[in-house]
Formats: sequence, C-alpha cells, structure tokens
Amino acid sequence: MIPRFLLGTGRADGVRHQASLGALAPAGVAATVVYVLFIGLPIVALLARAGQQEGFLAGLTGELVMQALRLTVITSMVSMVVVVVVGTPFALLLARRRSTVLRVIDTFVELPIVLPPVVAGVAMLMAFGRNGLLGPALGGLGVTLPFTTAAVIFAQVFVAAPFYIRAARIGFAGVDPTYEEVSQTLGVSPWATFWRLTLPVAWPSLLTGLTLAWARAVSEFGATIMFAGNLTGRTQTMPLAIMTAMESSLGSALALSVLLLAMSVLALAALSVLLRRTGSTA
Amino acid sequence: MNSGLFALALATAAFVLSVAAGGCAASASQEAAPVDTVTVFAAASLAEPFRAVADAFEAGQPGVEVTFNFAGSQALRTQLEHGARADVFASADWEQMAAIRKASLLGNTPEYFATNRLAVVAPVGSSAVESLDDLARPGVSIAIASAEAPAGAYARATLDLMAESADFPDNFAESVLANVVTNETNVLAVAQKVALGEVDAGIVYETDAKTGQLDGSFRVVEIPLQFNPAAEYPIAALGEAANPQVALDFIEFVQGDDGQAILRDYGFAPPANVACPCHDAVPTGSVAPSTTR
Repeated sequence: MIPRFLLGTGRADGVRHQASLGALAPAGVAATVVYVLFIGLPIVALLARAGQQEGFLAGLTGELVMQALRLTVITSMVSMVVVVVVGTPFALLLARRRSTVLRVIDTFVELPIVLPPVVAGVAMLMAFGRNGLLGPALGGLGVTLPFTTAAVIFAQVFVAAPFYIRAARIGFAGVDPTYEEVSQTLGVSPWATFWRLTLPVAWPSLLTGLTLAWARAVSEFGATIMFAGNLTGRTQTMPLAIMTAMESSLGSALALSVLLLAMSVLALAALSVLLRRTGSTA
Repeated sequence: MNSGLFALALATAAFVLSVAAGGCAASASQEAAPVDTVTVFAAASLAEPFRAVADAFEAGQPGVEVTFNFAGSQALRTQLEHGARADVFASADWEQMAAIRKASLLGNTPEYFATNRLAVVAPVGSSAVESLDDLARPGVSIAIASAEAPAGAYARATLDLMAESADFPDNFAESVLANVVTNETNVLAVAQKVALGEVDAGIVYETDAKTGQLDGSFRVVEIPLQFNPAAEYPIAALGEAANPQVALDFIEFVQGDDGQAILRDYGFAPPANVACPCHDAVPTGSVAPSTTR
C-alpha cells in the first residue's frame, strides 16, 4: 500500500525504526508527501515561470544581474576567508578548553542565528555607524563603514560565522585529544599535529559548516540593507537586487532568483561530492 | 552545552506570552461590536497624516476600523499586482496608479487628493551640506529613494531640472548621483538614514522634512520652486474591495474638509487639479456610487 521507496530500507537502524512506526507510518508518508510538495512546488513554479517570462534571458546577462552576481560572489568569498581565519582557532579553543567564560561565550555564539538579521543591521549601525559607538573613533582614522562594500562583508560575517563555528566546534570535539597527545609525545609539533591529524579528521564538519555559512552569507538581506544600503555595484547583493527588480522588471528578478537557486543546488552538490571523496558521512 | 541559551529563550518566551495574553484580554473586552475593516495601501510619505486621518474617520464611523500597509508606492503596486487584497490605494505618483488601472484592478476612477514637493535634509550636527551646490561636492554622502520609488523618480527629475538650468553646472545631476551611497525603497528609509546622521544629506518630501525639522531630527535645505515640480498623489478604491462602500467613504473623507485640514497640518498642499490623466474611458468595476449613504 505504501510505496516501498518512501519507507526506505538498507541501514539496520532504519529497519528497526520502520518496524516500530506501526500505525504511524501512513501519517509519516502523508506528511512527507505534503512537505515535499510544499517545498518543491514553489521551486518548480519559479523555474516554470522563469522559462516563460519575457526578458528572462536578457535579465540573466543584464547589467543589474551581472553586477549583483559579481558583488555577491566577491563579498561572500571574502567573508568566508574571514570566517575561516577567525572561526577555526576560536572553534578549536571552544572544543578543547573548559572555563566559565568560555561556556558563556559558547552559549552566545549562536545568538546571530536566532537574532532577526534586521536587528543585527540596526545593532551594527549603532556600533559602527558614523554616530555609533565606534563611529567617531573610526572617523578619526578616516574610516567610514556604513554603505560601503566592507559593510556588506561585516553583515555577512555577523550572520554567517556561527554556522561555521558551530560545525567546527563539533568537528574538533570529535577528534580524540589522546591521539593529539600521542602525536606530540612522538615529537610532532602542535602545528603539524593540527594540520596532519586534527584537521583531516574534523574536515567533513568544517566543510559542512563552511557551506552552510557561505549559503547564509549569499542570502543575507536584512542586515545588509540596514547597514550597507542598496547601491548597484557597491552594496546591492543578489537578494537586494531581487527586491529592487521585483518593483520594475520581473524578468530580472526571476533571473536572479534562478541564479541564486542554482548556486544553492551547486553548493549542496559540491558538498556531497567532497564529503564522499573524503570517505565520510558527516 | 546550550542549556543557558535555552533557559534564556524559555524565560523570554514566557515573558512575551504573558504580555501577549494580557494584551489579548484587554482588547477582547473592548471589541464587542462587529467591526468593518477598510484596508488602505498608502505611500510611505502618507504614514503620519493618514494615521491621523484614520483616527478622525473612525471617530465619525462607529464600528469601522482602518488598517494600513505603508510602503514605497511601487512596492504596494507590486503587491497589488501579485494579488494582495486591499480596499483603497493611495500612491505618491500617477505611474503606480496607472499600472494598477491598466491591470484592471481599480474599482473607481482615481482622483488626486494632495500635492507634495521635495526638499533636501541634512543631519543637525553636520555642516557638509548647507546649500544645493554642496550636494555635488566630491566626498559628500547622499541617500535617496530608488528610481522605482516615486520619491526617487521625483528626485532624479529635480536634479535634471537643476542641471538644465544656468544656476548649476551641466553635470550637476551626474555629480550628485555619484555621491549617492544608498537607494532606499521608500522615502521614510531615506529620512531615517539622515536622522541617524549616517549620511550627509537626503532628498525627501517637504512633508517629511517638515516633520523631521519640527522634532529636531534634521536641517532643511529648500529646493526652489522652478526645480521642484509638484508630486501629485492619486487615490482610488480597488475593484475587489471587501467593503466597497466603506472604501469610498474613506476616500470621500480624505478629500473632504476634515481630511484636507489634517493633510494640510502635515504640510501637504491641496491638489492643483482633482482629475487624473485618465485618457481612455476604462470601465471601473463594481463599486457602488458613494452617494447612497
């Protein structure tokens, strides 16, 4: 009665859960169908409409789309460099050391995930704006942050970093410290131990976290429009360009939406290929 | 690991729920009579005057409640085109109203009900922009509304008029636009960026300038009349209005003496001409004439 592929077979624990589902199985299947349609239908509708929309192909190569794409790719890449450089040692410390201060910090690492992004934007304006907490000091150095490309990167790092740090901390926590101790008693330096032991073992988690963080940075909207404004070529990333285009040219808005969708799918696919290559199923 | 955050979240949720419950109990006791709701989609620049107009309208119409959606007129147009339900649309320019009319979404013939103009505003504590010429000076940061928004379209037209005149250099408009650091989706967002002091100047409506000047948020640099064409605001009922009669009553109130007096208080001028440029006679849908009440 229930299609076999929906119930799934194979892994031992899967079979056990299937047996214990009992009368709940039909409800589970119905919920699955509803959910898949709920997520799938809008995406299919987006693609179908984009295919018919006048000005879609022109929009794909238009100046608005190209500038937003270029800016989004560059800023999100820079953001990820910042997130990795700062986030990796931070996550390692969180995973290895125990102290009250660190525990409090650990609790608040995930705050930007639950904080509405627009609140993050207002908060950054209050901190780094011209009249913000650090505004006068920054102004004295000749630095203005709001409404610059740097502000876009600030906003992306703020909202995206926790996704990487959280995954990295879990990844590092999964590396047995005794191996690291053994490595070092054998005369391998802490740096080399990190590069040759800790990093390869934690790699799948880091990669997953980085992909999620990148996807979040690319989709960042609320904090960006509040703190970085909306200027083509300088601060107008793809989500902002979609909103602007929605009010003038649906073709461009659809072109940008399809591009962002493709980028997300590619990121997921690349992640799964890379994880398989490293022989893990994180 | 995250029990601290979880506890914090629980405490916050409990607080919010208790406040919300208190609010519900209070409002439940007040709302006894059935309520006729009229939903008004109005340009962001109408936010303050229309709230005052609605208060006066509701005072004279027991059982009627006005709810608003304020945004850039072009954003409201997009929402209406994509199926948003509303009873009344008040736009800051004719373009957005014309698009709604062309899509056969109107229930009556739009009419102008108010006139606005533009002004340059600057933060109180900044001296970067003291005159219109300063707008073109390199290094000045300016916020304006996006070209899609009426306030942004008017601002660009005004800059073009200045550039065409002998009083300003030929490249004045380009120089000013080169100083623009953000294209906001509506005029209130422009005013907010100026009030925060995050930009050196912004181009907003005179009405926004007046409000902000009164509460000390910004200084105003006036734009002479010859460069400052009238921004005329049309209003119309929508064809799918849930309460066509209440919608027409609200429009009539806005156009009447009481509504016009409130709009004048907020700095709007009366319309130069009530009739909109409706060249072709498009059938106007199913709304009953407003004289039946």
